[in-house]
This record gives sequence, structure tokens and C-alpha cells, in this order.
Amino acid sequence: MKKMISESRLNLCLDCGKCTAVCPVSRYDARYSPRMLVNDAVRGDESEVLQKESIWACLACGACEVTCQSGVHYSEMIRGLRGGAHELGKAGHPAHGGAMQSLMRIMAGGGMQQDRLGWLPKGAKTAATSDTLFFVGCQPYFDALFADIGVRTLSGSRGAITLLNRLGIVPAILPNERCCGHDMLWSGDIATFRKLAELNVEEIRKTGARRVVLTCPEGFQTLKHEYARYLGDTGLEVVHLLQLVAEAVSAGQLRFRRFATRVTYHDPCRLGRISRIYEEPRTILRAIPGVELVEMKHHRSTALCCGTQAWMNCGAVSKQIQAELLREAKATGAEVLITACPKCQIHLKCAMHDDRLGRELGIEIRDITAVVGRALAE
Amino acid sequence: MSEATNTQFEPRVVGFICNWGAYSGLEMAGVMRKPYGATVRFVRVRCLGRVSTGLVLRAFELGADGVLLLGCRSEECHYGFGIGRAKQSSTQMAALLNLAGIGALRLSLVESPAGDGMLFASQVKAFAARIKKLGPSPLGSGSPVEVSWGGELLPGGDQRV
Repeated sequence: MKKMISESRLNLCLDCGKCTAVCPVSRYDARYSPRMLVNDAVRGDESEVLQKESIWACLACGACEVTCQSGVHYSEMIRGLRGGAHELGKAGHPAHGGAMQSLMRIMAGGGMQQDRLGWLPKGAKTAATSDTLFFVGCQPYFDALFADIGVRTLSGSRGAITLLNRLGIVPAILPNERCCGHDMLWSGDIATFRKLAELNVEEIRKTGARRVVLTCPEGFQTLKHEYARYLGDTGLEVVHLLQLVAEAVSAGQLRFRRFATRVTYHDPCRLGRISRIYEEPRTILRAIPGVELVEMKHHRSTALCCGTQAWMNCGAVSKQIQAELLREAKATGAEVLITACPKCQIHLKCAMHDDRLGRELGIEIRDITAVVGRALAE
Repeated sequence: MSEATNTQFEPRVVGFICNWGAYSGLEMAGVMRKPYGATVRFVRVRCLGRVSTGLVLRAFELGADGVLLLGCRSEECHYGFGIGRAKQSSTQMAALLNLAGIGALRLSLVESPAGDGMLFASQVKAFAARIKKLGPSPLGSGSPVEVSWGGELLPGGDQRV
């Protein structure tokens, strides 16, 4: 606990409460206060703090960290507390009957031979060995689970392979790719996370890849930072596809067809605030002729969170956060809300199915990689 | 958990059975003394519609080789819409099981007419035979969770409650 306090720099907290002021969970749940939790962690009894329900409510969106002038690493604290709580047998409330958590643990167990490449479009070029690997993410499973609410995360994956091939990259794709482990890490289940990471790195090495490209912000952040942190230097260069595409766009290597639409772009927490990739998606969208990009009131580092994390503690508070985001999106007058994260897409589309709010919140949501891939000129 | 000591593979099958029509089939099979084997361990639920994808995945995570869903026919569904919900879910479950390499064949949704002990017994035996033929779940040896499946199989395979 002491180690966690010092690594999270909790002792620097000035008790100013600005974290609580910007926290989306706190906005809708008065019982949750980042400031109070930091206080409890520093001053309270360790076993008592680990029993608290509130440690599972944090979305790890980073809004507090961006605001904190003292440099407190709040998300780090949450991770530490959840790890400790997990050892005591505590967990958040899993959504969807624990389906996602079961799936992740199944993936960590070994003995799995998935059949997950069916989404690849005809004509997609991939190779068994390559210096670049495209790490897809859990999109095939998402689309199977959430097809009934209009989720199409695989259209992003298809856009990605189209873009990669257009950039002259013929990537390897793991036929038995495991979940990156982000949610296990954020559920305090470090052991399962480690297993997933080790399995993935082992499989990636077999392809000879030195560079891994991802579209999922959580996967990207996890492979880039957390894998090295927990497994040591993997020797892999991890990039987000939008970084490659933006570079090519700036160099004039990509041409797009006209797509005359007013759009707004949502910065996912793990891509925006946490990885500071704000400019690349905008560079790309502005390069598409006819696209009118309008920003939401809260964007870039102040972007709103999509309201749910790690498939747990999803409830009324999540819904209100999603409603806030969707209202801001609609207020821009945009016809399409462009997201860069498959989970944001799922959570926002789910919110739109609310019986009472649905009509007010309905807006077309599309994945950026799907839009950009589609817009490519011949 | 130890298939290694026994050359005969004894499948571990979880059978979610709805309290109403399907369960009356089980009871009738007992009354008629129609054996249906001890392979399927039944979990009685109020309605098959409440058996979520998560529950089925959890069964496989814990080492099930097969999952059988026994419900009523739509015209006999106690809650009206329950079996319809279960059918929708089972399509989703099948897609996931195929992706995961477990295979949709290890899952079956069966409509069991109320009170038909004979049909019930044959449905259960048929699924158990299918799983036996398919062999252990590909996840079997890898499951990190140690679960005691409990109970002893009586000689002759008849389930005695």
C-alpha cells in the first residue's frame, strides 16, 4: 500500500477537489469522490479501503489527472487498489452476465484454437510472417455479442486492413490472437493479464514482426506501455494505425473521394488524454474532401468519457454520462459522430437504445477507420 | 478432472432446464423409469430465457464439455416469451462458441414437450452421445479454475436422485 501511495504520488495531493469537479462519475453519483478516495487511501485503514465499492466505479478516463496540478496519478492508485482488492476476492459488478470476463479468462487458459479470421474481406493481403503485425482486438467477439444494437466494430477492422494494404503493408495477423488484457488489468486480475500478455507476445514473435499496428486505443495503450511494464521490454514497436495514416496523408500519399458530411469526432480516453493522439485523426478527416469537421464543446483533453469501463459497473451513471456525450454530439449539428474506439461505439450505441432518451440521443455513429477506409480513392 | 486415468471419456455436460414444461419431462422420465444417463448435470432455472451468454460461457470456462438448454415449445412457454428469448440468445452463443473454437455443436437448445418423459430421455441421451463423440472440450486441460464436479456415477449410468 505504501509503495502504491508513493508510485501514485498521492502524498502530493493538496485536497483541492478539482479532480472531483471534472470527474464524470462524480457528476452523476454524489457518493463517488476522487478526492475522498485519495484521502482514504493515504489516511485510512488499508483493509477498509480495499473493501470499498467505489474503487470499481472509476472509468480511468484521466480527466482528473489532466486537471490535477500536483501530478497525482489517480489511475495508478485505482489500479493498485483493485489489484489488492482482487486478492481479497473482490471485483466490480460484471455486465452482460460476465460474458466478457469469462471470455478473457478462457483466452488466458491455453488450449484455445479460435476461428476468428472470417471477417477479412476478399482481396485482403496478409502474410504468415511479416515485419508488421496487425493486432485486431476483440472486434469479432464484440460484433457477435452486440449485433442486435447495431454494433459494427469489424467494419473498422476491414477499413484498417484496406488502409494497411494501401500503404504497402502486408501484415501478419494472429490466428489465435488473445485479448490484450486491458480489462483484466483494470479489474485487478494481474495474473490473467500477465498470461494473456505472455501468450500474445509469444505468438507475435513467431511471425517475426518487429512492429505491431492497432486500431483499438485500449489495445494500443496496453501493448505499448503495459506489456513493457509487466513483461519487460518486448522489443516490439507499437503504433496506432492513425499515426501511420496521418503521416501518409501529410506526405500526400493518400487520396480520398468526396464525402460531403458534417461530422464530429470523439476523442477516446485511451487514445486522446492518455496517449495524446489528438491531431492525427483530425488531420486525416480534414483531408477527405467534403468533410466538415465540427468539434464538440468538450474535445481533445477535455473530451467526455463514453461512460463504461472494463465491462463492469454499468448502470444509471454510465447512461447519464453517455447521454451527456451524445447531447454534445448532437448539438454540433453533425450528421455523423465518428469514434476511434470499438468500445466507445458499443457503449454509445447501447445508450441510444434507451426507451426514453433514444429519440433525443440518436445520431449515426461510425468508426474512423471504417470511414477513412471507405473514402479511399482508387 | 482426470481423464488420463480412464480410457473412457466421461463428458461433463451442464443442462439448464426450465422449471415448467421441460422439468415436467424430466419428472415424467423418472416416473416412467426411462433412464437418461448421468452425464448431464441439471441446473433448474425459472425460465430458459434467463440463461445468458455469460452463463453458458462460464460453464465452458469451468470445464463443461457441452451445454444443453432444455425449454418448452413456444405454445407451452409458461411466461410466453421466454423460449423466444432463449432462441435469440442461443444464436448469439453459437456464434461466440464458433469464434472461440469451442464449436456450436457443444451447445444445443432443445424444446421438450411438457410431460413427455420418453422424448425427454431420448433428447438428453442423444446430446450426451454427441458430446461423448466430440470428445473433451478443447479448453478442458487449460481451464485454470479447479472445480469439483462432485457426485459419483452409479454403475449402469442410471441417475438416482
